[in-house]
Amino acid sequence: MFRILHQDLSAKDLTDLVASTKAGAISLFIGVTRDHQQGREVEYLEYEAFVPMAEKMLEQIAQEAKNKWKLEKVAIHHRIGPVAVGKESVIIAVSSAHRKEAIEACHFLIDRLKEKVPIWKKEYFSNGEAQWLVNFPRQ
Amino acid sequence: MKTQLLYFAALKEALGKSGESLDYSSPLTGQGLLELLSLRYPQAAETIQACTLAQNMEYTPLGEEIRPNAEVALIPPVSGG
Repeated sequence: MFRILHQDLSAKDLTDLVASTKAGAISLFIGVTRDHQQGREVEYLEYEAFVPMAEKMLEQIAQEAKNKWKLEKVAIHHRIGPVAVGKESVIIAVSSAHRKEAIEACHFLIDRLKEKVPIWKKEYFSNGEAQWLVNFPRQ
Repeated sequence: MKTQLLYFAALKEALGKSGESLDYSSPLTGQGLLELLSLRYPQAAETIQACTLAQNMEYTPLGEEIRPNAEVALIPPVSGG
């Protein structure tokens, strides 16, 4: 349910993982790599993770969401390694009896993931430069 | 006392390695560890100081002592998603 993977991610796989006869809603968040960053053209991205800790943290933030909302199931897959522009880098799937909980939990989970989970992204620009990104720069 | 250090992302690049083991004699806090490494690797001091720590895959405050034989990951600011 909580995996760091080297290959293409599949929204269908994630949807199947959270399917439940008790669920009236499945909400998905799909993070996709962008072709520009502050006006510069991005060629591709490379993700790195502290894999065992990242998988553990994904499970932990899912538990936080389950403590806040009444949910059926949560699954999160994040890709690492090189990721071409326009490809999925992360997919979050949440099922719940009613839509509101699944939608709100999905929003919460992508925010928590970006804040807490030990995953890093490096952008490679078309001019040959590269830089590590920071989600929440210190003030 | 001995601890295994793990480096990732910008820090791994700056140090040219993904980790090392560290022997130390007196008790060391997380902050103390970052300072010790900044002295050892002055060219990477800024990157080291920007890190948070995880001991045995749990985030721990920098004021907390490094536990004997812990696996200590230096976590640069994350950018997943």
